[in-house]
Amino acid sequence: MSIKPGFFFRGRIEHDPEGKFRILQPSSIGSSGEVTAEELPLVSDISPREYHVVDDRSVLFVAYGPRNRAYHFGHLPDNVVASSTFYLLRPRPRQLVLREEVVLPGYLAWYLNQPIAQAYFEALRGGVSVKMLRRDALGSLELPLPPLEVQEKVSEVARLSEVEHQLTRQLLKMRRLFTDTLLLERIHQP
Amino acid sequence: MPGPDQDKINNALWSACDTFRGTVDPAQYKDYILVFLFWKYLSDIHARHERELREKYGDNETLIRRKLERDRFVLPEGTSFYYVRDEHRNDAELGDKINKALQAIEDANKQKLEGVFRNIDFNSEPNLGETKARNRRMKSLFDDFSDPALNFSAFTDTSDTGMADVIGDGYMYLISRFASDSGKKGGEFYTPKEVSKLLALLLDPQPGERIYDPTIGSGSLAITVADELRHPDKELHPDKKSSNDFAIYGQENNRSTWALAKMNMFLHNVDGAQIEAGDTISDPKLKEADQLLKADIVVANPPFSLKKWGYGDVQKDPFKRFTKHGMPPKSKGDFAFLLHMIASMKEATGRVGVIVPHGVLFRGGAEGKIRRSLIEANLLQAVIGLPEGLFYGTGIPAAILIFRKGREHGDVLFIDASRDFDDRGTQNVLRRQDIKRIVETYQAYERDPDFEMVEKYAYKASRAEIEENDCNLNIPRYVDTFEPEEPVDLEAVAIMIRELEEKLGDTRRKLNGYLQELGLPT
Repeated sequence: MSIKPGFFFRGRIEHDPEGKFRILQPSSIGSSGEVTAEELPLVSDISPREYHVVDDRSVLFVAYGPRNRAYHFGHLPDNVVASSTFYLLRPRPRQLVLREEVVLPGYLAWYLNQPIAQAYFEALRGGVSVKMLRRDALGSLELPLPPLEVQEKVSEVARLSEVEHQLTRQLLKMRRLFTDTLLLERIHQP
Repeated sequence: MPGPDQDKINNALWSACDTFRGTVDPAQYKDYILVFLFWKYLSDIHARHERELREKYGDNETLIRRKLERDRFVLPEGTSFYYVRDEHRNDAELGDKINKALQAIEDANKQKLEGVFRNIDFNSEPNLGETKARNRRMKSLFDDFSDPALNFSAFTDTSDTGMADVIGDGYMYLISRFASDSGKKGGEFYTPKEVSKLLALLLDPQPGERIYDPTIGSGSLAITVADELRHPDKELHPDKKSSNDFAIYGQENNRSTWALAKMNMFLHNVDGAQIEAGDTISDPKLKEADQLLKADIVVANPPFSLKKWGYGDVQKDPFKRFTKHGMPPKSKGDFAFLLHMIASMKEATGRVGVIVPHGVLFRGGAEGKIRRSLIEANLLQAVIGLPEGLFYGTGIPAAILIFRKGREHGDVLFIDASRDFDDRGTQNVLRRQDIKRIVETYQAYERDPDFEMVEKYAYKASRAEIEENDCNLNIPRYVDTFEPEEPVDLEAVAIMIRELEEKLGDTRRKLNGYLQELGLPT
């Protein structure tokens, strides 16, 4: 597993329609972990390293701030660069690994967001005004590694559970609108 | 645009701040940067004049000296930016050398610059660090300001006005950036330039008028009002002729902000400005024959609801500012500034434009009584509600109040401009079209006796209506902006509910499938 910091910007990020790279910052991620690639600011004149670019094997980990959330995006275009607020976690590309030791990014992101992992980070967090988690602290977490097919299923269940959450919220909102409207119609009837 | 473009200058200025960023507080280093800019400007304009004179008079040294002494300002031998940079760059006492050069410039230009450099110390260990670090910073400042983009003597428009505009705007740009970056801390109550412009257009300065800002800050609001006379807005005031005939007066309590105002006036070629230091409420400095100075335009963005505004100092106010309309409450200074402004209005032509928090429109008690008295004196002309988030350091929405003397009717215009703004970025901004809409509505109200209202935007209220509302000026009482909601299509909602339920069922089935495969209960 490699843990690398995101790309560090000097100064402000200014959108340039001609820019080559899109910048991903935590503020661009919605509350349910969604990102719209087209809305990320484009920048020019930067030369990020290969490991700064987000691909479908990367797990992004928010290093700064009160909560160290982890994300895995499977659908981003190949010019998205993570800002230095993140660490990028990736299985080493050319490392010879036993099948059992492979980590699936979806599984990894899910585990890092679990209360047990979060409590571990909480205890190791430093920083005076802005809280931050050091790279070696993140790396010291012991990660349970079930067989690959179990990881696959865990990450699918985690994904579907998030979908369930969103759908339920929308459904409740619509049902309230429906009943309120019905009631208003009722009291306006003679 | 004359010479190098404004953006380039602004960027060069902003990057000069990198020298300090992170190690020195913006509230501290902004003064250093702005003083350097001022110094560089003086040095460049001086160098250019000298060059021009040399081209004209060859080596007639006496004549050249004599001509230079008659310039707008004098730069004594050995005090220019370039001289100090080239001769003292590596001195251990660099900071001291800068202090001395600035002091000499101030002494040679007493009338315009007295006291301007008194509060700035380039040798200050608490502000700039120990000798080594301090000298490193100074050197790096010299390098930053040696950037070709900041070579002001290379301007193609060599008129002083063209140059002063560009530098002056660069200066205002920095002040606004400090204000937006650090909230109140770096740019105490800086008025965003669009709001200044709006006030300038509403107050419509005329040739020969006095412009007075009793809480002048860095002076940008007063300068913007004066600029409306120098370069009138042709679209909104098509018949107005440009004029240089005006006088700016101001007072500022914060000593280093006062120095910024003096420099800002100088940079904008407003040489005759009279800017005093001190507290406007407890110690008004601008007077004529022991009375308060009277101005045609009194404009200000006073601190919002200042707690310690000097209540104790004005119980026996020799200027009787709080006698006629009442004494403001001890803990909120809004009406103290407002009444000072009202008392500074000239008879017949006087008008006041002031930015206030909304509480001023409706708070009761002593403030309610003052409000009633002002309305009964028929001074209030307009109430304009602005969008929230326009000001640096506070998100609260503010309002503009316009008062004027010699009103012939008792009506008051209410405008609800709170929904017209550009909300891209962290700060909301008034766009040109938003300013135009407010000004055009205000002009229609002033010029057309039949003006009544603009649907969901503006309303002309009669004195009787305002009194019916107990002199409460809260804008929603007068401008109805209620938008009925779109009727809900029940059938469409029912369909959406069904679709969501189906999707939810699918998701749960899949989810349970995986759980089963993992040997878990569902």
